[in-house]
Amino acid sequence: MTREELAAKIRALAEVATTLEEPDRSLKLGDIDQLEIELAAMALEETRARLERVQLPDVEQIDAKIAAARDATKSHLFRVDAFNAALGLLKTAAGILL
Amino acid sequence: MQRLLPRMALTLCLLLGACGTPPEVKQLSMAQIGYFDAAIRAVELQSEALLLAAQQIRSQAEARIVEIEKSSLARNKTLALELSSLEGGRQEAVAEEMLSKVARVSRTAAAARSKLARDVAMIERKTQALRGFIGKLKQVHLALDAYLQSEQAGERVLRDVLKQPSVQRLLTTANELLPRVTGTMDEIKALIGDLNRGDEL
Repeated sequence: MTREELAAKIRALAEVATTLEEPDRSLKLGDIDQLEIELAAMALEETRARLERVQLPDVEQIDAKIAAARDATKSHLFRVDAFNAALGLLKTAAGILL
Repeated sequence: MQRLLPRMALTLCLLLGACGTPPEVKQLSMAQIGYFDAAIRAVELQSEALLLAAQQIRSQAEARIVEIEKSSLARNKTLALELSSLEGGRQEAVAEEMLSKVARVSRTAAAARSKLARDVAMIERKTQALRGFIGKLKQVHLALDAYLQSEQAGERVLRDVLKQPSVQRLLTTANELLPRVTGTMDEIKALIGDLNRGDEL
């Protein structure tokens, strides 16, 4: 049952209660007050439920993967350094030979 | 040295092949960082709007609860005044039921206010988590970008240390140089061969 359907049922109950004689009328309307307050408390229920359905990946896992990727990139940069060193050697060797 | 040169040339080719990210991919990667900034801003604005709406709904719900409490109190006051008109035996039972309902309405209102506050807090936590997640995605991309751009880092080293403008330029130079080196090596080899043959004669 949706919030609107609940509100409609509570309104219908209130209409019936107002037709009663006192003190039953006031006592029944007291029960309806309680239902109305419970309904007001549900105002954010749907938004909350929708957000709760959003499952986000574990941030710690993401951090671990970022750290691993950065380490791998660093080792790649070391390889680039090695490549530069190799090129330097090649250049020196060529310079000696030519 | 003759054995070393082909190995170096092979190393050069392998390493150039390993860091050969197409420039379009690098440009896209850099643009992606900007896209993430835009997405982060959009999510921030949406989160602010959602929180504002949640707080307004909470205020309206709380105002409605106050209204119900006031109307309930007024009705029960009237009922209390009318109790004397009831038959003696019924007066006490109605009074007890009335007081019990007043207490229940009061407890329900307190629980309702607490639930509304919890819901708003949960919505705030979740929207903050969403914002944090988008920020984290940008960090993931920055880590990827560092890898994609690493050839540039290599080129920076080349410029600073070897005074070469780019890896591509160095490759061209090396390609031009290699036949000359090979040619020179062949000439030296031939010369040594000739000298050896001369010794044999």
